[in-house]
Amino acid sequence: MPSFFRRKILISILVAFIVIVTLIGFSMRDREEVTVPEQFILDTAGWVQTIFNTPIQWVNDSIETFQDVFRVYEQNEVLKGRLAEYEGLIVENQELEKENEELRGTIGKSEGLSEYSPVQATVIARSSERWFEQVTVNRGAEHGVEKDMAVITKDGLIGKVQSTAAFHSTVKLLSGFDISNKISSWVVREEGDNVFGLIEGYDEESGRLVLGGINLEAQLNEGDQVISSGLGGVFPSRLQIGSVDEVRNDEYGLTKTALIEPAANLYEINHVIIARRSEQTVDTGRAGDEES
Amino acid sequence: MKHVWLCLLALLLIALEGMAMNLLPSSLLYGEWQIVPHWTLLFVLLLSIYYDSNETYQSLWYALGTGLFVDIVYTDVIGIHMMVYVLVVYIVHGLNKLLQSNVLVVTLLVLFGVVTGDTLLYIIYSFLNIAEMDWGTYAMQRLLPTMIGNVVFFLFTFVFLKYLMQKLADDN
Repeated sequence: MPSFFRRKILISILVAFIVIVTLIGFSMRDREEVTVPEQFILDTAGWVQTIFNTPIQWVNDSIETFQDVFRVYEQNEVLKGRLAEYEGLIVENQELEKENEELRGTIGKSEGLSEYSPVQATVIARSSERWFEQVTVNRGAEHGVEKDMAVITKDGLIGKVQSTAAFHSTVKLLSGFDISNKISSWVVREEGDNVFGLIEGYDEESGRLVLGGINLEAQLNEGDQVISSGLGGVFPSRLQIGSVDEVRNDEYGLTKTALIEPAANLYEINHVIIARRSEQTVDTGRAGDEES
Repeated sequence: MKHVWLCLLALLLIALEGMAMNLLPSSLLYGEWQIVPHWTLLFVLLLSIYYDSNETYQSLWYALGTGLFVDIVYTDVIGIHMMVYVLVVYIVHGLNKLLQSNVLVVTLLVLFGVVTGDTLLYIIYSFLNIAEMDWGTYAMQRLLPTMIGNVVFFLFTFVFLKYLMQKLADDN
């Protein structure tokens, strides 16, 4: 029965191929939530990583503390100098906050788009398949993390939540962003209005973000700060993204494109904050599309 | 019982792959040369060489399982590592039948497995528009360092894994 045997192999190869293609198709479409088995597997790997990560993190942190102790004197001198500056800033800040509150009161809005409740998390792993720029953090749906939330470090935005399991979630880094992950942002101008633009992707070669759709009339300088605008509906506003590095006209000459140097280091990430926006202006059913 | 041990070891390696990417110094990982750890693939390759006899194909099931885990934990697209791991393990299993197994041959087999696996992944991911790198850059910046990195890891863990797998296989 060699012919039957050969046919059996052929059929199983075909079936396997169909199954694989179905799986790829199923997982590549834009999903709101990953399935329960996937969440379970993500959590299982997450727990193993947490177990090993805890002592390593502890040693790492102690070394850092140790190094800090040696620099205390220098830092103290610098900080003393800064303190005087801050005194003035605090007063100014208080006044502005008060004014802001009053103004908000007059238009009947209690919270701005910039407010968010932070969820502290630690990075426990990074994708070993390097075509995917993603990291795993040790906070998940149980801690209030949801898909598409902004993830920041103390320096600035690093990415957004891609999928959540019960206790762990994966974060897509800025370096893995493409045309389908737009962030509406503002280039901060000292005088005049902020300039609007959309982060449209990441230039792998130079390691910079591409900010497109800028008005042709707008004047941008090197070093201008770029922040999130919060208009997309998911990200809070005023998250630091980076600074303008290079400006050029786009291929059709209708808008300008700027290359942005990310503010945060995308390679050494330890502690992150997941920004859960306080005010949900619209039901995020389809409104989140701009940033998803 | 021995399957429990092997599964735990596989899970541990999958978890460690990602942790290594996070913990190793970034100057080593994110410089000009990009090393991709394929430790799980190494594990299933050794499984097919030392654990399976010429007639048994249990390592294929391990390849299927670990591939699925890697897909879910580290990528967005399910099914690709699964397919590649099974394919590579099947080829290496076939080659292993023809060759006698001494250290040099096993190292070459593993090297062949890693290179085939990584290249297949690159080809599939570029079809899916996930990998955007031309062939020359890929070969120099990624394939070569990956090859070296994984062989170094293999040489470090080889003795332990070989001992473990032969012991478990003898219990059959």
